Amino acid sequence: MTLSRIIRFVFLVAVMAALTGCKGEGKRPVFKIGYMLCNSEEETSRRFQPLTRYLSDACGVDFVMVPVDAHDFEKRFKAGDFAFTHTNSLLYVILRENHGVQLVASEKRGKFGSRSAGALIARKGSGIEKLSDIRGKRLAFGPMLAPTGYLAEYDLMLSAGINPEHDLATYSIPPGSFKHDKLIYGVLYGTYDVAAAPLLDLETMVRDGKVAADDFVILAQSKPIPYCTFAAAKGADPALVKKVREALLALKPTDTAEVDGERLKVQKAAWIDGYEELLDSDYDPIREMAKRVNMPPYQKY
Amino acid sequence: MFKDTFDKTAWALLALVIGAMALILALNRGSGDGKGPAGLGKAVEREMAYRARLELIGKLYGPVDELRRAGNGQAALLKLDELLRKYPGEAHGHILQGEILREMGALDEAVASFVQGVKLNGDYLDATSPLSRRDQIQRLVDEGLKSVGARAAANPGNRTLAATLGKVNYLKSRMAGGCE
Repeated sequence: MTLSRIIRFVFLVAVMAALTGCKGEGKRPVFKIGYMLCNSEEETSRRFQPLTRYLSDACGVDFVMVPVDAHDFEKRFKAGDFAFTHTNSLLYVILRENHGVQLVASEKRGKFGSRSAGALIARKGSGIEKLSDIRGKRLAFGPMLAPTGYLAEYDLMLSAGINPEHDLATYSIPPGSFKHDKLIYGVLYGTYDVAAAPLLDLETMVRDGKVAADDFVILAQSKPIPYCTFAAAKGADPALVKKVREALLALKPTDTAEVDGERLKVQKAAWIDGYEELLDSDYDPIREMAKRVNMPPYQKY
Repeated sequence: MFKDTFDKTAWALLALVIGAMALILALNRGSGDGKGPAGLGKAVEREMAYRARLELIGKLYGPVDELRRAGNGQAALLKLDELLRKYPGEAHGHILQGEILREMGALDEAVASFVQGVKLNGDYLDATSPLSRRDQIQRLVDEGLKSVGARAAANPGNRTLAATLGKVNYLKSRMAGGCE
């Protein structure tokens, strides 16, 4: 009697211990972060998995990353696929105006910190020296929802009295991924005469030695505007939003996170210099541009 | 000991050598008091190094200044980026970057750049220095206190604004003669 009882007791204790051991992981609430795809799903995942793990560790919840195409982002957010968002600043404005998302933190990268600017560039020596010279030329834009690869440059042209719909020979958007790199190379090697280049990408390509600063003429550039942005759904738990904000603002270059058994530096993996606490009013220049260019969320047909 | 001519000559030469050595030692000791020609040499060396630095700065950053004067601030920033990576400890690049960023409307980043610059070299605060940027820094401080100060006051919990305001106040204290 005693032996079988002891065996049963030990078995019961072992099962309970095993279950308790699993509970810690499984019991953490799960939240999803929608990440706007930058160049490809693979690249976005590689960049932001360590950050997502870092946030999970810092906030005591399980964050799951959801890579989302920019054009599907609003639809999927509306469908409740994720409560936190990481998007460019124009998508943030769209989500803010249409769904009341709350600003969490703004990403820092490059010379302008949490801001970047859009520029119209031409190859040096091409004969295009000023903005008025682009009439009748071939222009390449970045993705349509890119604040510094499309919106800012479209606005620059309209402000200078150039209507891209009528005054250019053609305008196009390079196909596939790495559009910003492609259009900068496209100008350098003559595929396009003019390109709508985000200054951050130009700065990075110069830094990486892919192109030289002297290769291009900058015809016009926008004011610096906020760049990538973390936001949270209107109804998200305020305590969790606060924790996420604290964790992002506290992120240091030395912070690491473990992904697939490998410990990685979070900032380095994500190509970022940290996060800042901007105000929603800092995004007003984007709102004004979107109104002038007739783009979402203010588009009128 | 002094029996023949050879002995006498040998002893005379030895005495001559010892005397010459004593004279050389005495002369060297005399010039080591810091008031002689070597002290003047050090001052000249310092002046020469300073002028060489000014010359080098003019040569290195001249193309950046030209682009900036031509109104091509972004091209100037890209050029400057290469120089900042090559000479990260040289304050002038940070100061120039601060000036360009200020002109481009990036006030917070301009303040951060000036802070880096004056931390590396205080000459930029000295009104008598050929490198002086005292007037520009004063204008930046005035604008920063007004713009960032107002935003920070309206958003008391905002750490980014508080940090920028801290940097503006740092520049203000250095302008007032405060030490690093």
